[in-house]
Amino acid sequence: MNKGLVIGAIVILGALLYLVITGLGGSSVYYITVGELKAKGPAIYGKTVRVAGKVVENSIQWDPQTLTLTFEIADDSGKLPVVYHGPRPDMLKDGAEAVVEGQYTPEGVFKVNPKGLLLKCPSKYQEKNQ
Amino acid sequence: MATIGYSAILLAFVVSLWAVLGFVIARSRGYKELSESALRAVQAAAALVTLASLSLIYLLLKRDFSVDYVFRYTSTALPPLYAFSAFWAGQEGSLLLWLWLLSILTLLASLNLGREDEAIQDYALAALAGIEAFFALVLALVSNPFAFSSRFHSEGLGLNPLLENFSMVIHPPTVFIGYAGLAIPFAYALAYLLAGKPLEDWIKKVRPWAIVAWAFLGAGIIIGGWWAYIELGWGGYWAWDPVENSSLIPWLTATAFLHSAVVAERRHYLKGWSFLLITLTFLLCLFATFVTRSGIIKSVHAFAQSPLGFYFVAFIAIWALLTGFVAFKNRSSFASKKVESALLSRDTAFYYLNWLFFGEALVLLLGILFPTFSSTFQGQEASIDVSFYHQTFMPLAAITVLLLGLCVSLGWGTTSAKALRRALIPAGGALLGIVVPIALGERSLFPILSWGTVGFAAAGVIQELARGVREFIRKRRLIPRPYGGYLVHAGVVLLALGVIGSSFYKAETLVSLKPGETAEIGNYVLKYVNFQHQSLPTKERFLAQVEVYKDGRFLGQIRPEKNFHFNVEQWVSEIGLRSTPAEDLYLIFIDLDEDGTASFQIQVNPMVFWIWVGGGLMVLGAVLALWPEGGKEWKS
Repeated sequence: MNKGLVIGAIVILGALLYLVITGLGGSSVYYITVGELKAKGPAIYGKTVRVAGKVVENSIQWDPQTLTLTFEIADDSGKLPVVYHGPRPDMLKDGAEAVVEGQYTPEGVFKVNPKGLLLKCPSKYQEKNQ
Repeated sequence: MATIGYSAILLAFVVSLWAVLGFVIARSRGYKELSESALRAVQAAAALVTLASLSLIYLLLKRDFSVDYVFRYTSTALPPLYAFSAFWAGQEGSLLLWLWLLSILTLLASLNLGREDEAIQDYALAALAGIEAFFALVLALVSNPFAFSSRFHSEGLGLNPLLENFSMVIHPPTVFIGYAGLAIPFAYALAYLLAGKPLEDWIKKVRPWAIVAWAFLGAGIIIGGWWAYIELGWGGYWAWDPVENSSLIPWLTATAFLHSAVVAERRHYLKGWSFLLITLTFLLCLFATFVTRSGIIKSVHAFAQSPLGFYFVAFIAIWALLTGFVAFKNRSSFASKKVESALLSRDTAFYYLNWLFFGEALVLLLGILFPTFSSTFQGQEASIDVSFYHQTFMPLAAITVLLLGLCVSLGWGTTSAKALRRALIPAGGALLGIVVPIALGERSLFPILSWGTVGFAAAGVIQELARGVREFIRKRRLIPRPYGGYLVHAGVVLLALGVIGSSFYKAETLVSLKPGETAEIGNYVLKYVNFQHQSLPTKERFLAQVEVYKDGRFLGQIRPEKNFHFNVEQWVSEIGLRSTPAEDLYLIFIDLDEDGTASFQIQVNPMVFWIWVGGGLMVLGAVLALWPEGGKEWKS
């Protein structure tokens, strides 16, 4: 194999490595629990994190005029009120598993990024089978 | 019927295992009769798996809810087509489909239409039977589609409404034909190595298999994107979701293989690369099946957790070790002929292309595994967002597209100054691609660079096609094979155009309208006339009637829907779409108030149309590339 080719391959791999490392640095977001989020307090205001939890029963409020959605999610460590501006997703309902990506605010409300609301169907099939 | 199906799977496992042992012993001890018996076992396995699959289809169509799988994915009200397609709605059925397709393809290979050497046939069929045995074992032990329900059910749960779409009827089988089909070139790679036959002949042998499988996988991915666009209602076609990415990874390595194989066949090197790429492709197909169907990876559309993961990881590891061992033992087969290739040559370009595709596959794989890695090694689960792929995958993809534009200007081995002058045309295309958007007011760097890249590639493709036409006029003879490649390349360029248009120039707005009110987006005016309500057996249906005007002219009515499906107790939107080559008007019905006020998300997605056209052209190109007697040398 030609020496030039090998050098080229090394250059490509190096560039790839660079892209991956900077990419991971810039776009990796940590999952934290509601309890951890609240415990960190002011240190975490404005930092993008992901929180996963179940949508709390009867907490969903939707204002079609301003297209604002507020609800609470809960995990084992507590409840977290969230606010989201955007279309109301079909899958949002009581008990749905939600992953929200956004920032915690001093008001104690979690502000979800645009397109930062991910929902998973509560696995109805599994529940009914058990 | 369920008992018949399950027994057939158990028997298929036994005969497949017998086939593996039979072929291996026949080869090592030289018993010819044993090899014949193993061949019959391969045929029997295909028959048994077909029997099992037909049993499942029968149970699904009959809505026999005593079978858990039928209970979970169908209901009485489900139309027969969707009841049939529920075959691959869940994990168990999908794995059976994989096995079914593989057993049929193996049967095809066992017919030995290519008059293959006996040793090669035996080894290849042994490998394929081994894969079949694995799937049969998994189906029998951990993922049985014929398991009975624990309770009596008079009605089934029904299919997820999102899957009630024709593209979801054909998407999974299309992808799975690709996955199963890519096992064939891999099995023959092992066989040629074990039989000590030249790998150039292996490539000639498996080229049609690889192209067909590649085209199916590609078509399946495009259909999946189309489904996401039409059915998921977020206005995009690719979300960089692990499940989507996992199917793209083997497609990328298969694409690299197809290119690498050309070099191996004609120039007698990159043989090791070709072997490595097809092995990776096969293992990645297994990985993709596992990602989609095991739920080990966090994804919006993955399935529930199951012990399936262990089986798949073990199986992938076994094949990786076995293949590595065989390759090491026969490493002399990879020896390259001494060839001189200049830095500026087609050979070098193909070599770099391998690295590029490899890098793209690696980046996607990293993205999928990152959450698992970070929770294992850092103790805290992190996930990466879409921007990771934009920063890593996209630059690599852009360089790949650039190389595509250059390939016609490069000669094999070396590039003459005259040939290199041809590169002026793509360079001109790039210049045009940069200047025109700037003149039209584009000021951002990434769109300009993207247009330049695609301009370069487009000019190169046009140059390729023009040369083909000139050649045809001069020789008065059509050689379809190279045209196949050109068409695929043209498809890539159109697809890239669609991606650029829809990524950088998308417009969207959220509105809330009372009946009779209008909203504006771009040159469009949309008038919400009213809504209609229908009560159907499976759902409550709400249709919004929206009139579309452009520049004051009435274009027609679109009717997005919002339906409440009883089986999943959930709202599901059906988008309204008006698609033209220039742009799609995409309307999502978000919410309906009691007084008739409706909220909509309105999007204008430019050039999405060309993604589907480009995808179609790539498949068409693959068909042309299969043309027999097309393998004439293409002189540069």
